[in-house]
Amino acid sequence: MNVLHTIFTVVTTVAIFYYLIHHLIFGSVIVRAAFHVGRQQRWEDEQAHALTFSNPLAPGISVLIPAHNEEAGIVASVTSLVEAHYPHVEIIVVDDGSKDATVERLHEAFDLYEAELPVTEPRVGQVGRVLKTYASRKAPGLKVLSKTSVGRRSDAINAAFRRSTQPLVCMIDGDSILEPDALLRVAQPFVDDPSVVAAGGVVLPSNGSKVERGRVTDARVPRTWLERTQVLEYLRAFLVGRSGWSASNGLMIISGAFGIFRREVMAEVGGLDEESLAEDAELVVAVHRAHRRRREDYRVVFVAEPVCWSETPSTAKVLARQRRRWSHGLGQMLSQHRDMIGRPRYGRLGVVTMPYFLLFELWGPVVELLGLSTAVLGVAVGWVDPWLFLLFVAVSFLLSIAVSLAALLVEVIAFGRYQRVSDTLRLALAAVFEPFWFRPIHAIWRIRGLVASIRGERAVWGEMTRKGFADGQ
Amino acid sequence: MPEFAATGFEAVAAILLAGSVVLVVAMIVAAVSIRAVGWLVAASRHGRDQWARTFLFGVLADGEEQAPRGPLRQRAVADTAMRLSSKLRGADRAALANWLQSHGYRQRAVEMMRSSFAIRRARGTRLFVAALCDRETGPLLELLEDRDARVRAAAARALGQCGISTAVPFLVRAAQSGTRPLPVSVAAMSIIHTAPRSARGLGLAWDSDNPAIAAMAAEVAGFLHLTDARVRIERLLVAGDSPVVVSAATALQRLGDPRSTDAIARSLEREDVQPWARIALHGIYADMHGVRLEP
Repeated sequence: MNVLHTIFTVVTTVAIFYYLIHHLIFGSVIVRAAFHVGRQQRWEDEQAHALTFSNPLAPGISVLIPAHNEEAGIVASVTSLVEAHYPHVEIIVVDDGSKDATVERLHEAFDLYEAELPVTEPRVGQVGRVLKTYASRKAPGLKVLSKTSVGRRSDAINAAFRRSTQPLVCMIDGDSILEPDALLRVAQPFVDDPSVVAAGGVVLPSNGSKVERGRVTDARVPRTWLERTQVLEYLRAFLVGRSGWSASNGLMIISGAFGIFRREVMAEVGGLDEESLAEDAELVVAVHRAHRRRREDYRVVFVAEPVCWSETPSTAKVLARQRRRWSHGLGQMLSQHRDMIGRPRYGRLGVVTMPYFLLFELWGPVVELLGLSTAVLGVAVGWVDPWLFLLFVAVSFLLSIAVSLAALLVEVIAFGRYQRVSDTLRLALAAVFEPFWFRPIHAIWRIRGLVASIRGERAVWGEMTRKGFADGQ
Repeated sequence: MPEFAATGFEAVAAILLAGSVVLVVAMIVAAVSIRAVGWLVAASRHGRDQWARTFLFGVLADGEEQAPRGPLRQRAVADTAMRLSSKLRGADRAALANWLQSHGYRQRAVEMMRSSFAIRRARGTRLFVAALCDRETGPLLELLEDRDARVRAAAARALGQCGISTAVPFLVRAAQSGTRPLPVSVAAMSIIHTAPRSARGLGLAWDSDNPAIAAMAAEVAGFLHLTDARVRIERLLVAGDSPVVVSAATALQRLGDPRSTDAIARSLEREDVQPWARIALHGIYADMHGVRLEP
């Protein structure tokens, strides 16, 4: 009995310290994020954007859009780019083995014709075979590439990258809609600071919002709790997480749904890793690694103002697949770059960000489950007062709610994208309810992903069901 | 070993619980009330901006308006003038600048540019441009050496907006600075906006140790069609590394002088030019002979 009690005490003490360290780190990330967003807001300069927009020397952007069965949203997505406020935009859509009418929709909307699309970047590889390439009569900057699918988004991006011509490369999803000035805002750091090698913007769920002619004209909070909770998650991940990590040049993830890189930097690391499920994070870590090894000054930044609206899963089944894949990909990526973890040579990324993601993001659900099981055991055998147990559970839930509310506060104070008070109230309620229902099932999905990464399962992209953006939705 | 049923733990847990509840309730109230208050503040600001716009249009119409009283309205006028100044041309632009100068906004801009807060200095540059007397750029040139990179960029943009080509050598020098450099892309954009008629102002850039600056000079000269830069650009084809060679060749293509084709041909003979640059050079060479290469 004494041995068991000792084990119980050790596990409980470790769990308490684990939570304490987690909250201390994340607390500092929240504070940094608040300062970061505040500073960006104060320095927001419309004049600088206008001068960049009107300047022939503004660096051109190649926007790469992988599309696999995206007939529902591809036209709105491309329209948002054709009408983007940026001087030089090249749009390369890759129809990655779609079985639906993705290419037909583009033909109808942009009057495509067959045209050569030469390879400009042979340093990056490609697996799937190119079938046809098109240009557009209606939108001169638009090119479409049709290829066989190998089941990887990264291969589609690499195929487009090999044919891109501009000095900056932006990746977005086939179901994403960029705000008109999003490219201008996310490209501004590259103009202002030559050491910036990569930048990311905010991705928010478009579910429930009103979309007209490729623009979100009325941002609304979705109707279902599942989608609403995802809005909260995205606010937390982008406005708090990425802003905070970016403030200390320790940003590890730039979303594949809205990220921009210097072309030369992306080519140097060989484009996206074809084998990775977390290819966006893998690319950022590879960029960090290359620059740290050469001891070059560089910055990977996050810009909290520009938004890319993207459709998020509306059913638990699809969401479960997505989250399992994310966790699987994170495990795969951390394992691939394990030599960087805890190494001061790799700066804050190696010493803080990567260990944080390993201990608290990847293994977090397992530790949560272990801690909870141990505490329940302690209550059952009388080692822990039941009231004390309930008190700690309540505190844990309340702190989790507080983190979500902090993200909501940043959004409300700095941006106010959701204009209605009722929407703010709905998001606040979603934050309150989230730990009771979403967090446990999310933990299970994440554990499944972790197990898949430990078992070294082959990474395969899942099918996502899209509703698309009907005009006036 | 700690005892988890001890009263000390209960006390700590109770304090944590009370603190967390207060934190959560305060944050919910803050989020909802800030949203509501934010709506009112935005409506009020919108009203002031509308008023300032009408006020400044009145200034442009008769120039007789008196400066508003009250800091909020004064700030609204300053902000609107900053935005408006880049959209006005000719007599309207001059009328706005004259009014701002005669009502103390220029002096206010100079004071802002001497502030110890970087953001205030940067905003000062914008107000200074709005109230600018054409030939007075001294305070802006000083800020090209500011300790904050964003202020340096703001000053460079302001100089570009003024369209004063005598600022070009200063912009080039600022980009070359070893201690407080101006980003090359910002310098390039500002020079483009000043629209110099000669490449003389780019003098320092051609012999720069920094390839990015030499490439910038070539690009600027190409875009602005500064034909007196041709010989300098042709020299870059021989001396520069691959990115500089491509920038120089592109600039020569823009200038369109047939005498440059020999220089491009010579650069194609260089063995140290990278393959991607060679492809670009072939395209430019063909284009200058009126031949369009099939991809």
